[in-house]
Amino acid sequence: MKCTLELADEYEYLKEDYVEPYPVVSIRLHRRELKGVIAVNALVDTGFDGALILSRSLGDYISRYVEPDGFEELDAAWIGLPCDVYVVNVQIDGRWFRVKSYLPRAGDLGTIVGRILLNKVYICLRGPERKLYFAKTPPSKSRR
Amino acid sequence: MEMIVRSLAERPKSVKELSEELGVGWKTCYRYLKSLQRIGVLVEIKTRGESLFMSRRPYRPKLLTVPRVRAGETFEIVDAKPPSDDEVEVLT
Repeated sequence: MKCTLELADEYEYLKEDYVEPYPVVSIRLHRRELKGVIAVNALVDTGFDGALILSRSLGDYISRYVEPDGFEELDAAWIGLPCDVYVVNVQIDGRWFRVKSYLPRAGDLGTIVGRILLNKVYICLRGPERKLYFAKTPPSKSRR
Repeated sequence: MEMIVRSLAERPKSVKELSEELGVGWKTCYRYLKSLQRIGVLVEIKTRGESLFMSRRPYRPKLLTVPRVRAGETFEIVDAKPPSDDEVEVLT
Protein backbone atom coordinates (compact mmCIF):
# COMPACT_ATOMS: atom_id res chain seq x y z
CA MET A 1 0.00 0.00 0.00
CA LYS A 2 1.35 3.37 -0.97
CA CYS A 3 1.19 6.08 1.67
CA THR A 4 -0.34 9.23 0.26
CA LEU A 5 -0.34 11.32 3.41
CA GLU A 6 0.85 14.87 3.06
CA LEU A 7 3.18 15.71 5.91
CA ALA A 8 2.71 18.97 7.78
CA ASP A 9 4.08 19.95 11.20
CA GLU A 10 7.44 18.44 12.12
CA TYR A 11 8.73 17.60 15.61
CA GLU A 12 12.20 16.46 16.65
CA TYR A 13 12.40 13.44 18.94
CA LEU A 14 13.48 14.38 22.46
CA LYS A 15 16.95 13.25 23.45
CA GLU A 16 17.86 12.51 27.05
CA ASP A 17 20.87 10.85 28.60
CA TYR A 18 20.51 7.07 28.92
CA VAL A 19 17.10 7.04 27.19
CA GLU A 20 16.50 6.06 23.58
CA PRO A 21 15.27 9.18 21.73
CA TYR A 22 11.49 9.31 21.80
CA PRO A 23 8.74 11.08 19.84
CA VAL A 24 7.08 14.13 21.35
CA VAL A 25 4.41 16.52 20.16
CA SER A 26 3.54 19.98 21.30
CA ILE A 27 0.08 20.22 22.82
CA ARG A 28 -1.86 23.01 24.46
CA LEU A 29 -4.00 22.78 27.57
CA HIS A 30 -6.78 25.00 28.70
CA ARG A 31 -9.29 25.22 31.44
CA ARG A 32 -11.27 28.29 32.43
CA GLU A 33 -9.73 28.53 35.92
CA LEU A 34 -6.18 28.57 34.56
CA LYS A 35 -4.44 31.78 33.69
CA GLY A 36 -4.13 31.40 29.94
CA VAL A 37 -3.30 28.51 27.67
CA ILE A 38 -0.42 26.17 28.54
CA ALA A 39 1.95 24.91 25.84
CA VAL A 40 3.85 21.74 26.66
CA ASN A 41 5.63 18.85 24.98
CA ALA A 42 4.28 15.36 25.54
CA LEU A 43 5.64 11.88 24.92
CA VAL A 44 3.69 10.08 22.19
CA ASP A 45 2.83 6.77 23.83
CA THR A 46 0.68 4.34 21.86
CA GLY A 47 0.89 1.95 24.84
CA PHE A 48 -1.29 4.25 26.93
CA ASP A 49 -4.99 3.87 26.25
CA GLY A 50 -6.09 7.01 28.10
CA ALA A 51 -5.80 10.58 26.84
CA LEU A 52 -3.21 12.44 28.90
CA ILE A 53 -0.90 12.08 31.90
CA LEU A 54 0.40 15.25 33.52
CA SER A 55 3.99 15.66 34.64
CA ARG A 56 4.46 16.50 38.32
CA SER A 57 5.36 20.13 37.62
CA LEU A 58 2.46 20.66 35.24
CA GLY A 59 0.03 18.90 37.57
CA ASP A 60 1.23 20.93 40.55
CA TYR A 61 0.64 24.11 38.58
CA ILE A 62 -2.88 23.08 37.52
CA SER A 63 -3.80 21.93 41.02
CA ARG A 64 -3.11 25.43 42.33
CA TYR A 65 -6.08 26.71 40.39
CA VAL A 66 -8.31 23.69 39.89
CA GLU A 67 -9.74 21.10 42.26
CA PRO A 68 -9.55 17.51 40.93
CA ASP A 69 -12.68 16.35 39.11
CA GLY A 70 -12.23 12.85 40.41
CA PHE A 71 -9.92 10.08 41.42
CA GLU A 72 -9.04 6.99 39.36
CA GLU A 73 -6.38 4.36 39.25
CA LEU A 74 -4.22 3.93 36.19
CA ASP A 75 -3.17 0.41 35.41
CA ALA A 76 0.56 0.91 35.00
CA ALA A 77 2.08 -2.41 33.98
CA TRP A 78 -0.53 -4.19 36.15
CA ILE A 79 0.07 -2.01 39.18
CA GLY A 80 -2.67 0.39 40.22
CA LEU A 81 -1.36 3.95 40.22
CA PRO A 82 -3.61 6.35 42.20
CA CYS A 83 -4.27 9.51 40.20
CA ASP A 84 -6.23 12.72 40.56
CA VAL A 85 -8.27 13.38 37.45
CA TYR A 86 -8.65 16.80 35.84
CA VAL A 87 -10.91 17.37 32.86
CA VAL A 88 -9.06 19.71 30.50
CA ASN A 89 -9.29 20.96 26.94
CA VAL A 90 -6.33 19.76 24.90
CA GLN A 91 -5.27 21.01 21.51
CA ILE A 92 -3.41 18.56 19.31
CA ASP A 93 -2.72 19.14 15.63
CA GLY A 94 -4.90 22.27 15.74
CA ARG A 95 -8.00 20.52 17.10
CA TRP A 96 -9.40 20.86 20.61
CA PHE A 97 -10.65 17.94 22.67
CA ARG A 98 -12.06 17.73 26.19
CA VAL A 99 -10.41 14.79 27.94
CA LYS A 100 -9.54 13.36 31.32
CA SER A 101 -5.97 14.02 32.36
CA TYR A 102 -4.29 11.99 35.10
CA LEU A 103 -1.94 13.32 37.73
CA PRO A 104 -0.26 10.46 39.62
CA ARG A 105 -0.34 11.10 43.36
CA ALA A 106 3.24 9.89 43.61
CA GLY A 107 6.19 10.01 41.26
CA ASP A 108 6.58 11.71 37.93
CA LEU A 109 6.01 9.96 34.61
CA GLY A 110 6.39 13.10 32.51
CA THR A 111 3.65 14.42 30.25
CA ILE A 112 2.25 11.63 28.10
CA VAL A 113 -0.33 11.69 25.36
CA GLY A 114 -2.16 8.40 24.79
CA ARG A 115 -4.37 6.70 22.27
CA ILE A 116 -7.63 8.53 23.04
CA LEU A 117 -5.98 11.61 21.51
CA LEU A 118 -3.54 9.89 19.14
CA ASN A 119 -6.36 8.03 17.46
CA LYS A 120 -7.80 11.36 16.38
CA VAL A 121 -4.83 12.49 14.31
CA TYR A 122 -2.61 11.29 11.49
CA ILE A 123 0.95 10.81 12.67
CA CYS A 124 4.00 9.70 10.74
CA LEU A 125 7.07 8.49 12.63
CA ARG A 126 10.43 8.60 10.91
CA GLY A 127 12.57 6.96 13.54
CA PRO A 128 15.91 6.92 11.70
CA GLU A 129 15.63 10.68 11.24
CA ARG A 130 14.28 11.08 14.81
CA LYS A 131 11.32 13.01 13.51
CA LEU A 132 7.57 12.93 13.97
CA TYR A 133 5.17 14.57 11.55
CA PHE A 134 1.52 15.38 11.70
CA ALA A 135 -0.06 14.63 8.37
CA LYS A 136 -2.90 16.55 6.82
CA THR A 137 -6.26 14.80 6.95
CA PRO A 138 -6.74 13.13 3.55
CA PRO A 139 -9.48 14.92 1.60
CA SER A 140 -11.44 11.68 1.28
CA LYS A 141 -11.75 11.28 5.06
CA SER A 142 -14.20 13.25 7.10
CA ARG A 143 -13.07 14.24 10.57
CA ARG A 144 -13.76 11.55 13.13
CA MET B 1 -21.75 -12.88 28.32
CA GLU B 2 -18.84 -10.98 26.87
CA MET B 3 -21.13 -8.01 26.19
CA ILE B 4 -22.39 -8.11 29.78
CA VAL B 5 -18.87 -8.08 31.17
CA ARG B 6 -17.83 -5.28 28.84
CA SER B 7 -20.88 -3.20 29.72
CA LEU B 8 -20.43 -3.67 33.46
CA ALA B 9 -16.79 -2.64 33.24
CA GLU B 10 -18.08 0.91 32.66
CA ARG B 11 -20.20 1.09 35.83
CA PRO B 12 -22.58 -1.00 37.96
CA LYS B 13 -25.96 -1.61 36.34
CA SER B 14 -29.31 -3.17 37.27
CA VAL B 15 -30.73 -6.26 35.55
CA LYS B 16 -33.44 -4.12 33.93
CA GLU B 17 -30.93 -1.59 32.60
CA LEU B 18 -28.68 -4.32 31.21
CA SER B 19 -31.46 -6.38 29.66
CA GLU B 20 -32.76 -3.28 27.85
CA GLU B 21 -29.29 -2.28 26.72
CA LEU B 22 -28.48 -5.73 25.34
CA GLY B 23 -31.94 -6.50 24.03
CA VAL B 24 -32.44 -9.73 25.97
CA GLY B 25 -35.20 -10.75 28.36
CA TRP B 26 -34.94 -9.89 32.06
CA LYS B 27 -34.87 -13.57 33.12
CA THR B 28 -32.18 -14.55 30.60
CA CYS B 29 -30.08 -11.58 31.60
CA TYR B 30 -30.47 -12.37 35.31
CA ARG B 31 -29.45 -16.00 34.72
CA TYR B 32 -26.27 -14.92 32.94
CA LEU B 33 -25.47 -12.40 35.66
CA LYS B 34 -25.88 -14.99 38.42
CA SER B 35 -23.63 -17.41 36.50
CA LEU B 36 -20.96 -14.73 36.14
CA GLN B 37 -21.32 -13.91 39.81
CA ARG B 38 -20.87 -17.57 40.80
CA ILE B 39 -17.59 -17.83 38.91
CA GLY B 40 -16.33 -14.63 40.51
CA VAL B 41 -16.47 -12.26 37.55
CA LEU B 42 -19.23 -10.04 38.95
CA VAL B 43 -20.33 -8.77 42.34
CA GLU B 44 -23.98 -8.26 43.26
CA ILE B 45 -24.87 -5.15 45.25
CA LYS B 46 -28.31 -5.34 46.84
CA THR B 47 -30.05 -1.99 47.16
CA ARG B 48 -33.52 -1.30 48.55
CA GLY B 49 -35.36 -1.50 45.24
CA GLU B 50 -33.16 -3.66 43.03
CA SER B 51 -29.89 -5.48 42.63
CA LEU B 52 -26.96 -3.90 40.87
CA PHE B 53 -24.19 -5.94 39.33
CA MET B 54 -20.67 -4.68 38.92
CA SER B 55 -17.45 -6.02 37.51
CA ARG B 56 -14.73 -7.13 39.89
CA ARG B 57 -12.27 -5.54 37.51
CA PRO B 58 -13.62 -2.14 36.53
CA TYR B 59 -12.16 -0.38 33.50
CA ARG B 60 -8.88 1.39 34.16
CA PRO B 61 -6.84 3.18 31.54
CA LYS B 62 -3.73 1.10 30.89
CA LEU B 63 -0.12 2.03 30.46
CA LEU B 64 1.60 -0.95 28.93
CA THR B 65 5.01 0.26 29.96
CA VAL B 66 5.89 2.79 32.60
CA PRO B 67 8.01 5.49 31.03
CA ARG B 68 10.15 7.80 33.06
CA VAL B 69 10.82 10.66 30.76
CA ARG B 70 11.31 14.36 31.13
CA ALA B 71 8.84 15.33 28.43
CA GLY B 72 6.54 18.05 29.65
CA GLU B 73 8.59 18.87 32.72
CA THR B 74 8.75 22.48 31.64
CA PHE B 75 5.88 24.34 30.06
CA GLU B 76 4.92 27.86 29.20
CA ILE B 77 1.83 30.00 29.38
CA VAL B 78 1.26 31.27 25.87
CA ASP B 79 -0.70 34.17 24.57
CA ALA B 80 -3.31 32.15 22.67
CA LYS B 81 -7.04 32.32 22.33
CA PRO B 82 -8.77 29.67 24.45
CA PRO B 83 -11.26 27.49 22.56
CA SER B 84 -14.96 28.22 22.53
CA ASP B 85 -17.24 25.35 23.59
CA ASP B 86 -18.23 24.73 19.95
CA GLU B 87 -14.62 24.04 19.02
CA VAL B 88 -14.10 21.33 21.64
CA GLU B 89 -14.87 17.69 20.91
CA VAL B 90 -15.74 15.91 24.14
CA LEU B 91 -13.90 12.61 24.66
CA THR B 92 -14.41 12.09 28.39
